[in-house]
Amino acid sequence: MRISKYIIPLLFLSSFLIAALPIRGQERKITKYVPGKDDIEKEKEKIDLGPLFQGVSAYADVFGLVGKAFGNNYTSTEFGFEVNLKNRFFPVIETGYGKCNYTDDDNNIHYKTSSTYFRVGMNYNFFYKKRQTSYVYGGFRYAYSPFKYDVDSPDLVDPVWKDKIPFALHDVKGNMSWGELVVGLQAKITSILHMGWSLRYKTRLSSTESLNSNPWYVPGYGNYKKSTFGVTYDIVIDLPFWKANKKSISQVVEDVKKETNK
Amino acid sequence: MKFFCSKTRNAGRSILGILLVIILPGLLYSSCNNGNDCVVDNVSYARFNFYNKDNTSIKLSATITVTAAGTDSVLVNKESGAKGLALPVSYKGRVDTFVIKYTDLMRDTIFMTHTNIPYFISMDCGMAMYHLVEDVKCTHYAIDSVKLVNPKINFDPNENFKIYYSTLISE
Repeated sequence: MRISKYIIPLLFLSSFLIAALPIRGQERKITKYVPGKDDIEKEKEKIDLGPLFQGVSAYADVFGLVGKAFGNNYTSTEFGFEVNLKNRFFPVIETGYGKCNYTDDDNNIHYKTSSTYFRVGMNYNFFYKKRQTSYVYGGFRYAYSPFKYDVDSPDLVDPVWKDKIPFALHDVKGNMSWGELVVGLQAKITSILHMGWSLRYKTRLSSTESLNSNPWYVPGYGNYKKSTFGVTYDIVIDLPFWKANKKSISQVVEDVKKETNK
Repeated sequence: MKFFCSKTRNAGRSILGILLVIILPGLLYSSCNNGNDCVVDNVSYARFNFYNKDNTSIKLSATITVTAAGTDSVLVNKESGAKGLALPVSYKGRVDTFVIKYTDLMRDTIFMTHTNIPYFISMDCGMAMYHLVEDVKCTHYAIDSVKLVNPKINFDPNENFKIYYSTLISE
């Protein structure tokens, strides 16, 4: 009686197992999977974007060196590195050196400063899906500059009491941080050489002011206003650390077909 | 579905382009217009306003002339119905003495102790002298009292002192 208690449920369960096994002589018809156009497009897109890390580029701005020709009272030079992630995201780090040594013709005030500055940020390639190495991008930066400056002025003359007060400030310490919104484009010239320009909107985030002055020119930022615009013209070189192994479109289609025919 | 996605993508890019066209000129305009507006004469003034004992702003019934000790300049010349004064401050001195004449015989004197702060504004606006008031005293012919409200004397048109007058010469 005990054994019979288990035999019937076991037989019942095993009937399902038997039904699942292929029966010899009866082959199930297997439908061959043929990838449709959408599947191929998805695979192409996945492989088109390539691996995550796609190279490092170094670039230098030349506009700051020739800015005087465009009316600037200061010069700057900067260079940076950008990392290509999926041809879509480009984290960047930049550093530069700016200087100003200027005397105003109208009021004879002399201003002098020179210092380095630093930026970190990210660019975003709006045309990342296109298989090309020229792109239009937008981005942002956080920037910081520590600096010292000198101001020399003719004597201040009291308009009522007529006293003359000399004025000279030297080695006034200051620092400033600011944010930037960037738009630009980069075009491929040769296999490793690119050129491009960027337009930057800069806005002051924090700054130190001394008792006797505001800074006039801040290296990397420009004139000491709440916000300002800047331009860079960049020479970009792809560093030969890694080259993307990108397949052509026809190779991608062939690979997908081979996989599905196996 | 693909057609719908393509339409949405194109619409998104158009919206982005429109936003850039609208936003960028706005940012450009604001950055060009947010520089310091320069003051015409680069002189900072100590600003006095007149009040009665009830702290109500008043006009003086007398015609007043204001001079400063140590100079021949007349700072205010026969002004009638004055509600206040804007007086220049000396660049070198520590104590300025202002004499307010109501008549040939009636006058009050204000003594203002201050430090002087030469200030570089910008290459466009040049230099200025700011002041920090430390103390103020006065005589009491018509003035009841003087109160220091804001010790910073610069280009801001803010009140620095309240002069409380008795009813002798206030309207």
